[in-house]
Amino acid sequence: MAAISSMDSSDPSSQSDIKIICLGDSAVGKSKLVERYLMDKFKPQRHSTYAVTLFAHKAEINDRTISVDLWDTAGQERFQSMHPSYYHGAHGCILVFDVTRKITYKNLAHWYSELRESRPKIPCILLANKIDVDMKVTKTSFKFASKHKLPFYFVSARDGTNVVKAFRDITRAALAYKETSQDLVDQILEELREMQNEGMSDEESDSHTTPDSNHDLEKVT
Amino acid sequence: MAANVLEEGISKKELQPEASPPDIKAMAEQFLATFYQAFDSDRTTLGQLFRPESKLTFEGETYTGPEKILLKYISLPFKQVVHEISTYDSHLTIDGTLLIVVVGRLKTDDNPPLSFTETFNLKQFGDGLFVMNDIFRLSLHNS
Repeated sequence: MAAISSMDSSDPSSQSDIKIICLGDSAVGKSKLVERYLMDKFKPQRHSTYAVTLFAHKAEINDRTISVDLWDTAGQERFQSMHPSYYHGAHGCILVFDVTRKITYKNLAHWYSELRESRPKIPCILLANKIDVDMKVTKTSFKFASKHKLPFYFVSARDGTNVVKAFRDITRAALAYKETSQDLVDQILEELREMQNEGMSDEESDSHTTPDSNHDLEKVT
Repeated sequence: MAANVLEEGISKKELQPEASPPDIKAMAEQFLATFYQAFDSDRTTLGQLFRPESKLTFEGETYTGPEKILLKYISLPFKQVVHEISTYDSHLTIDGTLLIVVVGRLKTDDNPPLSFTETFNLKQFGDGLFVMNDIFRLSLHNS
C-alpha cells in the first residue's frame, strides 16, 4: 500500500509549515468560514479520494511569512467518523458550532474528545457561528468553552464578524505550538481566553443571559 | 496455455465475453433507478424495499430489518443528496437472487462530490423485489 500511496500525486500531505484542521457538525459553516477568511485569494485543492478540501495559503506572523494548510472535511463526516489521517500532524484546530441549532453545540463534546484522542495538546479555539441570525445570542455564555479552557469567538461567516481575528489567533497559536515550548502555548491561549471571556462568568449556565456582557464584536471589513 | 497467454497475449477471438442476459440487466437497472430516486427525493420511503431479515452494512456498521435500516438512512446528516451511477454490474446467483455492484458518485448539500461503491443482493417475494443485503462504502483512500 505504501507503494500505491507514494505514487498518488494527489496526496494531501505537503511541505507546509503548519496544519490547521476544522471540526464540527455538518452545515455549521466550516467551509464558509474558511472561504470568508481567505476571500477570493485562493482556489482550494480538492482531494476526493481523501474527502478533504485543503486551503494552502501564506500567513504573516511576527514579520514572518509561513505556509499554512487549512483542512476542511469535504463532507465525509456525514457518512462516517473522521479518519485518523485528518488529525495526523495537525498543529491547531478550529472547532465550530451553529448558534441556531442546539444539537451542533451538544455534539462539540464528541468532536473534542475525538480530537484529543489523536492530538492531546494542540491549541484549539471554539467558534459560535451564524450570530448574524440573532445578535442576542452573543449575550449568552457557552459553558463548553470555559469548561475546556478554549478561547471563544462569536463569529459570522455571512457578515465576517470576528472571522479574520479568530483565524489569525489560531494560526499564531499553532505556530507557537510547533516551534516553542508548551509553556508559551499555554500562555498565549490564556491571554486569548482572558481577552475573549472578559465580562463572562465561567459559572453561567448555557442559556443564562448576562445583562451587561461586553464582548467586542470586531467587525472585519 | 496460461504461460503462453502471459507472454504472448491473447486474441479477442479466443476470449469472447458472454453477453449479459437482457432481462437481468433490465431488472438491475430498474431497481437502481427506484432505489436511488427514493433515496434522493424522500429517504423515508426506503423502508418498504427491505424485509425483516434484510441487512445493511453502512461504512462498516451493520443493521438488520427495515426499521433499523430506515433509521440509519434517515439519520444521515444532510438535507440534500444526489446519487449518480457511474457504472454497475449484475449477476443472477446460484440461489436465484440478483447481485448488483454499483460504482458511483454522490453529492450532499454544498459539499464536493464523493465516490462510493454499493452492493445489493435482491430476492423476489411475490410480485416484489426486496433488498436482502446492502453494503455501502465511500471510496476513500486515507493512507
